Amino acid sequence: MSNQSESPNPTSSSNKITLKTSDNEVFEVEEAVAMKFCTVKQYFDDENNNNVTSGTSTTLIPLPNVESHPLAILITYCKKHLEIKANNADNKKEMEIDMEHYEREFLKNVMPQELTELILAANYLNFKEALDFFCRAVASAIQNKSVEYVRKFFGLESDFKPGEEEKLREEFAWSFEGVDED
Amino acid sequence: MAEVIIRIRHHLHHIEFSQEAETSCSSSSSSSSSLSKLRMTKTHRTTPRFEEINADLLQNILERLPVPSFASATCVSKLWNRVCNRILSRPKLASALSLNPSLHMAVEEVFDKVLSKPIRPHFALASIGSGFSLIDAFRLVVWTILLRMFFVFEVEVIVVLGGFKA
Repeated sequence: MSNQSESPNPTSSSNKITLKTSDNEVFEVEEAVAMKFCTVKQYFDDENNNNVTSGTSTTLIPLPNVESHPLAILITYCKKHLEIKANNADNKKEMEIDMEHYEREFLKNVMPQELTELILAANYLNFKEALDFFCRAVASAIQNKSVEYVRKFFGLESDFKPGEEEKLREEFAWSFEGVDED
Repeated sequence: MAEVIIRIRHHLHHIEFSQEAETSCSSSSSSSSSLSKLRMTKTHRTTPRFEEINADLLQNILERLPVPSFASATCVSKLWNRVCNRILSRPKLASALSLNPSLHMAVEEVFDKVLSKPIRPHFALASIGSGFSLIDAFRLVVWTILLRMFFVFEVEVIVVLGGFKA
């Protein structure tokens, strides 16, 4: 697993694509990684189509809605994702086990606030696997938790009118049995 | 070393650690994962708040919740309530395609996909690749439906099978 721009993977001879984030950081990633971000792929394909005749192509792709922090994490995730896929090309079960293992480790280092950021970035980049993974992670983080815990987790406040919430809670009273301690 | 600093930052994440982190990062051994390294170089930024997550993304999260958690999610806020109602009220269609050359695997895969969410679809469209015996495919599909959806009568599943052997 190599960091962006520094120490490119020696075994790979693929093209590099440069991504520029909203905070003006530049990331050089392998084409295989960049192509997992559908937004980048679309941009890249369009550019290529436009430049067929002239033979030049822009390698710098601006990402005005993504900051460097989530992008760096997404690139790491994506590389690992591709690596696990390549290592277990003929065994889907093994691949899923490896992926689950990696994802569990991954989540140990991620704060809830970062998940929000990662979801927004993955959504903008249209990186489906990552978006699914992060949404799944958020869902399991709030599973079996009280309403108060969920609000605190996301920094939300109740915007119900007085009485509305009580009515809802009454209606769904059965769902509050056996929730985990906050 | 890098790990230790991550832990500290997790507890006091609102405090700026980047300078200290960068120094220790450059001296840290290559054993630390690149993810940790990337996190170290984080500088001032505004963390987006959860409100920026729009209804579609929220739906993506909430529809994965098991039923009791889903029900309590309706009480979190107006937006959450609206999204939960939307999930429940829309007729749900799930579809999946598998081109796995093994009939067994293909059927498993499409069923896994269409029944992956706790709130079941009303209607599922499952397609598998070509070249299977019609009788075998039919038997397997019937068995899978019986095994997996014993308690779920309201789901209609259409399995599309491509080009058969005679």
